[in-house]
This record gives sequence, structure tokens and C-alpha cells, in this order.
Amino acid sequence: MNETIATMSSPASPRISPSPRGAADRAPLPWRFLALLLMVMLAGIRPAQAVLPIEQWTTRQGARVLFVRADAIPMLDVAVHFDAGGRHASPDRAGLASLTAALLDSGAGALDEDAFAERFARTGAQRSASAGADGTTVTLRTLVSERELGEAVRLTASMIGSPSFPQAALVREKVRLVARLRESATQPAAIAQRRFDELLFAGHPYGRSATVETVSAIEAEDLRAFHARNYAASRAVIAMIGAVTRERAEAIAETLLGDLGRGPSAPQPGTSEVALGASAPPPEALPPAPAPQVLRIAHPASQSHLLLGLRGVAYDDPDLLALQWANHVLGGGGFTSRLYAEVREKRGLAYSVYSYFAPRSQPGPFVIGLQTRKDQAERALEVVRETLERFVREGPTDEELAAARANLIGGFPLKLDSNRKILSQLTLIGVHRLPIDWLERWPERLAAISREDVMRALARHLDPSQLVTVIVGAPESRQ
Amino acid sequence: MVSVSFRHLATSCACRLAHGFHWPAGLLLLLLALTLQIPAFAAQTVYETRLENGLKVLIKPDRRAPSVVQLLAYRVGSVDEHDGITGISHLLEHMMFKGTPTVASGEFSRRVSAAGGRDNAFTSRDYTGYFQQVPSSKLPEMMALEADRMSHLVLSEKEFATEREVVIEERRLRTEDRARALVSEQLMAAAFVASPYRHPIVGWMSDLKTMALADLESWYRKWYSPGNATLVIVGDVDPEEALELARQHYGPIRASSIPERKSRIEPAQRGPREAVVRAPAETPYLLMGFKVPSLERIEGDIDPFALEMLAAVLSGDDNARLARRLVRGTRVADQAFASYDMTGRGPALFMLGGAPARGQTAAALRTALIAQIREIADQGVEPAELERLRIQYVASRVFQRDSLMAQAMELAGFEMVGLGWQAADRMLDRIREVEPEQVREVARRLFDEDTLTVVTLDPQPIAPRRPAARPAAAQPNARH
Repeated sequence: MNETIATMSSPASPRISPSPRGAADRAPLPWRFLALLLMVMLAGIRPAQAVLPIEQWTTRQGARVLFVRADAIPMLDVAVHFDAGGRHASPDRAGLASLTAALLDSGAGALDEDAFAERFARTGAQRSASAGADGTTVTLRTLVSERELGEAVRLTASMIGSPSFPQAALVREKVRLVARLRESATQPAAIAQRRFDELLFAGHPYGRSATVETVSAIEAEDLRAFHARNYAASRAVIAMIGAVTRERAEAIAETLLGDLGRGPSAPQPGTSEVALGASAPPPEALPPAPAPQVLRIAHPASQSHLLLGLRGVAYDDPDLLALQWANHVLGGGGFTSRLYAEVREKRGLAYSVYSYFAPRSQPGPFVIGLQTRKDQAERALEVVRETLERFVREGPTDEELAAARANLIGGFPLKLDSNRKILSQLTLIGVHRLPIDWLERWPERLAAISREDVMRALARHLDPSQLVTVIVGAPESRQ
Repeated sequence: MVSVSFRHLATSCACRLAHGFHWPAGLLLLLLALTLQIPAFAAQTVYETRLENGLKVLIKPDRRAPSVVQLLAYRVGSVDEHDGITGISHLLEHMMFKGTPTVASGEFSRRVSAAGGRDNAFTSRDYTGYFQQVPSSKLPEMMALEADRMSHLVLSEKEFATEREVVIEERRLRTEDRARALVSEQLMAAAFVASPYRHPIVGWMSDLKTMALADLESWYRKWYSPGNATLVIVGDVDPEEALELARQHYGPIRASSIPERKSRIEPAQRGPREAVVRAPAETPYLLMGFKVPSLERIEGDIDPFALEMLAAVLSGDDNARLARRLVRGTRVADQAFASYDMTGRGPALFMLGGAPARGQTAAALRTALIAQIREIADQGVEPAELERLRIQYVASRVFQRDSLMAQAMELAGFEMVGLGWQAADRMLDRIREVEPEQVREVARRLFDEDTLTVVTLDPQPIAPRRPAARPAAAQPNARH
């Protein structure tokens, strides 16, 4: 009964990249922030002192660690990232990366599933393990009291390093995953997302989703092999923030990866480090972009779910920031965006309408999404297309750009105001090998972009004539 | 009733500052520190005052970063609504962004954005909240904007006509096209007859379509006044400066009387109620609600805390009974949960539910869930189960301090349900004091089938059965 409903839905996806938030808590961080912002905005001068004092080192096994000490709350947040995404699973085993992550805690080390769950629960800590196309991330949030911290870290290390992947748990989790897949195949939003990904990235891991068939084909041996090959300490990235000393943080990082290579899925003696994945296979090249098209899928829901989009950019694309700035004006800026004004505010066509770039290791999607009553879906589609075309043709106005920049730069402190937000920034920097001052120079880099840069970036990456569109619950007359 | 021993090691003091602040120094959770071996941490320090016009102000400094949350909460939600105007609190919440004589429609959010901030609003059964998160230097401007729309909202027919459509789309998105949301809506509608908790927050579709601007105007005049609101500020502020700002911006608003709220007591339920929802889905789904007590007095009540622990024993963590036994053990369920919220301006339900595994049925899951309650009623719970959960309650309370928004929501929430913001710390103590025997006792006494409401989802295929696909037997009159 804690249900609440809001004026605007939460964005479907991260809307703007640096969600850095502040607060290393140690002391006069706010001063440094304000000083930085002032400097950036007045003169573009780089401060001598770091806004976010990130410490970094490499573990004995070669993992990169990024750490921020934050003493204000007696807790520690950790994210361990592996280059163990869906791209490493063969197409006929789509879902393998997710299933591997889901089964990490189904028994590990000497503990069976219930015992592991019991021991972990007794620490009061929280954990997660999830896989995307590009990687797998295990997170831990724990108190820093000696007993709880030590136990939570040891258990997390054992699920990372020596999961036992018991047959009974695998059978069960496959059944549960299949049930979820069947369920989502009835839901318009999920159907739209799957078909959209398939259209935009056909033949590439970004376009693959687990199906009943691929999940059913996965066996325990597949999990063990996937884990052994891809959960490689040497290619791991660990992000940490919390109330521990650097010394303690170093020990924790070593412990977290300490079980790798010792569990049942450890490689047989004689396997070389290279075979272990010291260097991962390069990502599959993206196939040619799909022809522009509109896919209409029947569904009995009262609303049509629309997704429009095209291939966007990768994390290392020099145009990324300009595009994110532009997208803030188009559909990323919540209540102030053009799509919001045209689709919702002026015409009342939808409750939720948004756009975003989802940068990935390789060019990820640019997406516009909305849902509207079936009989006005075509009209909404027209409005969105016209809004996008005009936006790309004429570009954002100077006023719009100034307003977006004011929000993004002025709101910089908000991007770093909790440990959780900082953790995600640290992970981003580590995983995408961004410069260590990437975060603090972000406002400065944004301030240096011109309107012409934005126009060029839009011209390069956002061609409305290439849109791929999926409509689930298409108007009856068009089905 | 089982007697309970209060383990009261907490200390508190209410100091008074020069200009009328009550500042309850944090309750030191010594107990927690002792049992958990973590450093004693002070419970929250919150500065509380009430302006002359009746506006309550709560200020909680958190100076980790130059960021601040302003949350203004009005004690009005769907629980205050009646037939014919359901959803009006939420619809008004949407209209609050449509401007005042000095701030044009949509300008509110543009100013928040220009200030580097984000804003939104939400409506629950119990209250309506408006919030902005901004760099702390922008707090004065946020207060000016929020105070302005407390009494100067302009409601126009044109804006209303559009926003009504937006909210109707919202209802479609949230409820109409989501099978499990329909089940939840149906459960509340079936479980409650007189209590307005029977109405969905978003409102019934026909009410949304027939609502008039005049309805919104009177709702606004009735409930949007300083005496019916609490202002919560959490973040990088000096409490005295923030209070001065609040006085400056909110102080001039005229006090107005708050209408009497008539209690609409839910009559005793005299037998189980069952309903079926047929909607597009693949998997059956089950939701059950038992009528149980809600929290009235933190120091006197025992049942709500025991029920809270019961829900946690059943599904508080990965190794809780429902996951261990029904999902991993007998495999009757793919998903199983118990939930209970002791706070609320209306009556409480203890919910049980989930999705049966393939080859199982909602009826089998229902039997299994009830059996879990019965087992606790017969055999009780292990002290170790409670000990494990106590640690988790303490830990999640520590973790919550990482988010300014979560802290603001908690303060506002407890104020709005009438328990007072101090409730959070005391409730943690009270939950941690629950004894195994008390859990057993509520399991034995409060799960009377006569107060049970059950809603089952009967999944329907999404592909309409086309005439061609129908078996011949279904078309006896077909000619060849």
C-alpha cells in the first residue's frame, strides 16, 4: 500500500551520462565543488585539486580499482565489473550471461544455496548480480562494522569466485526465467523493446534476447565454461566508496577476487593465462544498419506502445557529450523537453514521452518512446516525427541550449550527492577506461562545446529518415 | 495478549533554541551498537518548528554535498476522496504545474531546470508531495516558487482539458493494460466497502472523464493551506538560515481552516471475498489480503510490530520462508511474497501472494501460503530468524542515509500519516523488540478467513481467437 503515482514517470533509461553525485563526505568537499564550478563557469580553468578524490590501483591479479573514501555513513558500496556480457554467449545460448549471474549465489564455496542465503542475510548487506550485453556487474552494499563487513566481503568473493552452479538450482532458475519470458511476451512494453532491439541490431549481441528455446538449451557445463572464461580477475574493474581506509580497501579488493580460479569452474591445470581470457575476444562488428521501417504488431491493450530510434554512439565517441546536451533539449530534460511540450503538454497524447542515447562499448541505441491510446497512435507518431525532423533540421535554439547547459552544469553537484551515484560514476570511468578526471572535467568539456558542434553531431548521428519504428498494439485499421 | 518487555536504552532530549526550534537531539541507538558491534550512531537530528499560519517545518541538515531537497507535503490523498471524484487529488497534483499569475504554465519546471535541479510530484492514498532537488544555493528560489503555488494556482479550462487526457493515458499505462495492476486494484475495491482505500489513487476512468474544473478548484481551496502541509528540507543547509527562508517565503501565506475529516470506518468483514480478473497474461497470479490492525500508538501497540516481523520472516530476505520453501523447496511458486504496511491513514491489509510455478495453480499457492501462516501459528518462529532480520532493519536504516530524497520522504511520510517524524527511530526500536512468541501470537489470532479477500488472475491469450481458428463445434450453425 506504499503505492504512489507521480506527475512524470521515471525515465526509462539514464537520461544524461554523468550522474556523478557528490560528496565524498570527508570534509570540505562542498567548498571544492563550488570552487570548481565557479572556476569552470568563469574561466574554464582547471582546478589544481580534484573534486572527487579518486584513488586507484591495480590488484595483484591485475584488476583495476577506483576508490573514494567517504566516512560520513558507516557503510561501504562496491561494484565488481567483468567483461562477461551477453556478447560472450553464442546466439543459441542467449540468456547464458544473465543465468550465470543469477546463479552465482545458488551455492558457493562450501555453502549450499540456503546456507549461503542465510549467512549473507545475517550481515544485513545487500547484493545484486546482473548481466547486460557488454558486461556483468556484482554489487555489494554493507555496513562497515568488523563482523558484518568481513563476512559480507568473504561471501561476495565466494559467489564471484567459486559458485557451484548446482543442477537443481539451474533447472529451477531456467523454469522461472522461461516463465518470465512467456509472461513478458504478453506485455506490450516488453514486446516492443524486444522487437526494437532485434530490428536495430539484427545479428549482433545487442539485438539478442533470451528465448524459451535458448534458455532451455543451457546446461550447467555452459555456466561453468562461461564463468571460467569470462569472470577474469585480470580484466575486472572494482569501484568502491565508503567508510574504510585505503589500506582496508586494498585488502577488500584482493579478497573479492581472491576466490577466482579456485572454484569448481576453475580451469584445469595447464590452461594458459591467455586461454583464461587475459585478453578477451574483440567485440563483434555491428552489421549494417537496418533499412528504415515501421513494424506494427497487434495487441489487445488499450494503448499503443511506440519505440522509434536508430543506432547511436559508443562511449568513446567524441560527439557523445554534444548529443547528450542536444537530447536534453529534445526529450531528455523531463518537463522541459520539446517532445514533452509537443506530445504531452500541448496535445495530451501521452503520459510518458522521452528520448535518450544509451552509449555502450559499441554504438548503442538512440530511442524515443511513448504510449498512447490506440486510435491516436498514428497522430502521435506524426507529431514525434515532425518534432524530431524539425529539431535535427533547425537544431536547438540558443535559448534552449543555454537552458540545458544551465541545468547540466548547474546541476553537477546533484550528480555527486550520494555514495550510490558516485559508485556508478566510478564504475563508468573504470569500465570505459575514461580519464580519471573525466568526471570533474565534465562541466568544463560541456562548456567548451559550441552550437556548431551540436549541429554537426546531430547531422552525423541523427538522421530522421533512417528511423526504425515499432508499434505494439497498432491501430486496428493498420494491422 | 502477550506482555512485552521494553528494552529502553535510548535517550532523547528536546532542546529549545532561541527562536522556537525544538531540536530533539538524536536518540542514541545504543542497543543497536551493542548487538551489532558497529559504532554507535546518533539517530537523525531534525529541527522542527511551526509557523504562525500553521505550516510545520522540518529541517534535516546533511552537508555531504552542496545539494538540497525541498519536499512540501499536503495531507490530502485518495483517502480523502468520495465517489464521483476519485483521482481528484492526483489530477490536481498534475495541474499544480500549470502556473500562477506570476509564473506561467510550465515555467515552474523550467525555473527548476535552469537552477540545475530536477522536480516532480507524487500522490499516495494518504498525501500529496511536491519536491525539487537543487544545488543548495537555489533553495530560496525553490521556496518562492513552491510557496507561490500553495495559494495562487491558476486553473484554466484549456490546460485542464489537455491534462485530463494525460492522466487518462496514465491510468491506461499503469493499470488498464497491466494484468497484475488490475488485480491489485480489484483487491482494494473488493476488500473495502466503506473505506475510501477502495478507490485507486489514479481514480476510476469514468470519474476522470467527468471531473469538472470546479471540482478541482474547490479541492484546491479546501486542502491546500499551510495548516494542512509540512515542509521538509533535507541537505546542505544551516538550519537557522533555512528556517528564516521558510518564514520569509511561506510565512505570509494566510492561514485557513482545514475542513473536518469525517471518519469512514470500514465495517467488520463477515466472510471471505473472492474475485477473478481476466486479462491478457501468461501466468496466473494470486493476491490475498487479511484485514489486520494498523499502527495507532507507537508506544502502546504490539500487533503492528509483530505483523511487520511476521511479513519479514515470510519474505524479508533471500532466505525467508516463502522463498526457501515455496520457490526453492516445494516449487509450488515461481514468486511468493508477504507484505504489510502498518502506517497509513486508512485500514491495513496483510498481503500474501505470488505466481504459481508452471503446472501448479493459484489455488495450490493459496493453500501453501496459508499453510505457512498456520505453521507459524502452531510452532512459532526461531529466535535466529528474528535476529537476522533485526540486523537487516538496522542496516537498511543506515543505508537510507545515503539518499537525501529517501530521508525527506521518510520524514514527510510519518508526518502525513499522523505519527510524527520521530516515529522512524522509535519504530525501529519497537520492531527490534519483537519476541518470537509475539509473532506466533499474531499469526494465530489475526488471520481469520472471515476477513480475507482473494483476487486471482485468470490469464487470457493476447491473440484474439479468429473465427477461422475456432473448432467446428463452436459454430453449430455453420453451413458448408
